[in-house]
Amino acid sequence: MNPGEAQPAIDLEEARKRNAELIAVALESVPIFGRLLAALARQRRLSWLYWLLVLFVFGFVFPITYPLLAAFYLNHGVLPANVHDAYAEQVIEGFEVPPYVLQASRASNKVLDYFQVIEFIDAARETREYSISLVPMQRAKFVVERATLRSDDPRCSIPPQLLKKNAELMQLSLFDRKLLSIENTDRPSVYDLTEMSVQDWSDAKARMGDTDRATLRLTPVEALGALDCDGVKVDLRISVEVFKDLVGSK
Amino acid sequence: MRPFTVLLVAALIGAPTSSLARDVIVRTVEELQTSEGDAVGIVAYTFKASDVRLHVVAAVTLRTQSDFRSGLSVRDLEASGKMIPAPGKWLLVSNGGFSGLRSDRPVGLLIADGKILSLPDYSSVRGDPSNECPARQKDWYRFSGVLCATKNADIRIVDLDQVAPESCQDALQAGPLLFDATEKNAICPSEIGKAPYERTVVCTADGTVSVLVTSGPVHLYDLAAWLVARHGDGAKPTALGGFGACTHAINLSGATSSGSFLHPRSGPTVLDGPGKFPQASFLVVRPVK
Repeated sequence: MNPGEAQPAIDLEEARKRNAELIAVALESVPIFGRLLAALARQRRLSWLYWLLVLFVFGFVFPITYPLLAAFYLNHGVLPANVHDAYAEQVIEGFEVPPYVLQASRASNKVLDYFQVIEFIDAARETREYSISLVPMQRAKFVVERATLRSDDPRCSIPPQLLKKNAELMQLSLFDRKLLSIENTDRPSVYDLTEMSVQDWSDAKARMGDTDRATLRLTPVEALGALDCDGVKVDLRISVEVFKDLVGSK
Repeated sequence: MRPFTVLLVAALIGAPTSSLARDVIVRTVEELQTSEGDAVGIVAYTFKASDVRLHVVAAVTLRTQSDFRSGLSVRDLEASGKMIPAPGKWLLVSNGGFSGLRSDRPVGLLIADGKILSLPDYSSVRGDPSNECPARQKDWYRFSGVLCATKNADIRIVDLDQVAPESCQDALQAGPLLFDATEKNAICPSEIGKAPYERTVVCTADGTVSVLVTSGPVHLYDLAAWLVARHGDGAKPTALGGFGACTHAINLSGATSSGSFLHPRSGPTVLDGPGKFPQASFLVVRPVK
């Protein structure tokens, strides 16, 4: 062959064959599948394996290795202090959670701290107090699920003025602050402490002192309080849902 | 005389048939053909409101400490001997309204001898405007009616929203109302898709009152249709037959609660319906004279 003449194609083909043979010899040492892989290499049918390896390296090995190496170098003082700080700052800012995500996270934190049920059937003319765990401004919801009166003594009649629909039977208060009227109605009554004013919370806080205990008070209406017998019972169920959030007040 | 009717008055009340006019309660046995083709027997006690006193009795006022746990069913009450007529008189007792969490706790209004023993229950069910049945398009009360024996001895069946409880000497909230003065069946045909039960129903018309106890399970829709349909005069013949003595009707507690007993003036006590389940209240009917 004279200098300057085009390289014959047969040489390239020979080179590919030699490469394939080299790869096949190397693959023969692979346990179990070695002979199969070597045969595929000699037939030059291993391109899929090549691309699979590329995908594995770039998709898995590199992403895992790079941050690890970066962290290793940074921890061992490879970079000067000022460069290290600038670099770290960039990384922190880059991975910082945006405000709207933080807001969503905060919203998702509105889960129950605890759930408590006040349920009893007892003399309707008595005032009752219950101590619940609550910190000032903590969000809580009170749901009156059932409220009715019943007498088990025919000598002790329910006051007739309480027969009408939506008649008020009792009042629910937080300390002295009335939260809601407990009525004989067809729907549950609900009170959310977000409806409390700043002044109300201030008063409640003063009553709570250094404790995290608040007093719920159930007071019968005047007609019930004036009963001279215990036969009239109030059948009451109130659920207390206390949330983890502290909420702004009106 | 209505078809399917067997008159048992003479034997039960101790009076000859010819003297029916001076007796104030009539026991008849009717038959209802259900929409599923079954025949269900119905015992009907009919009387004039002016001839009787209708009382509501709360179970808690009848029980002793020994039967505190099990409560009192209609059959228990009959067996206990706590409810017997005055000498020479008769006495009819049937189950009352519905119970709450415990079988002795009534649900809804209960007035016994002028004493208010339980407040009205205003719990309601959400209506569905797209429902084909008009009665289910708006919200409705779970216990929509009140049986009221007034202080001037009238007996009325009134919609919960229209009742004046202070006018009732005895009252019992139950439901649903099966129909009112329009005599239009207030029960939706879809009710037939639910399970049938034994029933106790009270119906009124022009000063006449009937307490009815079915001997077998029946759908409220069929029962309401049967109660409102007339027969004999041919005005409203239906495939179900018809009772035809009612303009207002209310459903009381049913299934194993349903039951009645009659202590006649003479002769053995007559028990109808299962009457096995402890009751919160009972209906008691006594003659005025």
